[in-house]
Amino acid sequence: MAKATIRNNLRQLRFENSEMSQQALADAAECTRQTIIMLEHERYVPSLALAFKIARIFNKRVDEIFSYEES
Amino acid sequence: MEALFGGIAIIVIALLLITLYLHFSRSRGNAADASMPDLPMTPLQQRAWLGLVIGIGVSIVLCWLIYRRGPTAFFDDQDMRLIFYALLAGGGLAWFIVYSLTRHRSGVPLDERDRAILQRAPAWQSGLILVSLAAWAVVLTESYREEGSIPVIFAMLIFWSSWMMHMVGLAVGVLVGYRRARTDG
Repeated sequence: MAKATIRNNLRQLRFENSEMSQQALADAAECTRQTIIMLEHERYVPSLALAFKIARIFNKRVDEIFSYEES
Repeated sequence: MEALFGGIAIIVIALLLITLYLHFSRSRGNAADASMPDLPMTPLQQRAWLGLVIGIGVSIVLCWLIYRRGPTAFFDDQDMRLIFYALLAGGGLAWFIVYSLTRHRSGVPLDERDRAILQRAPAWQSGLILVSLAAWAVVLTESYREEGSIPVIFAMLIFWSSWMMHMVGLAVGVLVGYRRARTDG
């Protein structure tokens, strides 16, 4: 069975948004900074609720931030 | 009696080994994956470390007290028994008050990842309690097989040790959960 990965461009988006810090994003998304770090390193797959919350913070659609990839 | 202290010592050593494993596996994880930065500890992780240290500390103090006075002599003293009951009732009441006051406090820093880790932690709790009960069963059977009966005070000690394992087990479960989440996602 192929291994699925959820890719994201969170790090890039943070820098494009006035170099937003991980802590600022964590506060806005109501999660811990550790979760943001794990997301950026693609070691954690967020829930739909968190994915939508993050998308709303950056004013983007979920699929513009997160993408599904099979390897 | 030596078997009893041996059993208690085994449990305390096992808890210390778990702590060392958690500490060093964290460092090894950092070395193995250079792309991952040092993760800041979440509030839940900090509380788990605190719980682990307090749990192991209290366990060591209790074992030392019981060792010094002897498990049966320790509770022959009525004052000592009353202190124990007061601690039990006071501890329960204190927990209930703190829990009631903090339950509805807004901004509790637990996110979905913390909650998932917390939900898996009780597996460690029940596992450690079972190990401690198995240790008690073996040690007491071997110590009092000749007499055919066990001093009633061991009911208290078994409860006490289960309580400590309950506290330590949750902390261990949370810390192992973070460790696994770091490597497995």
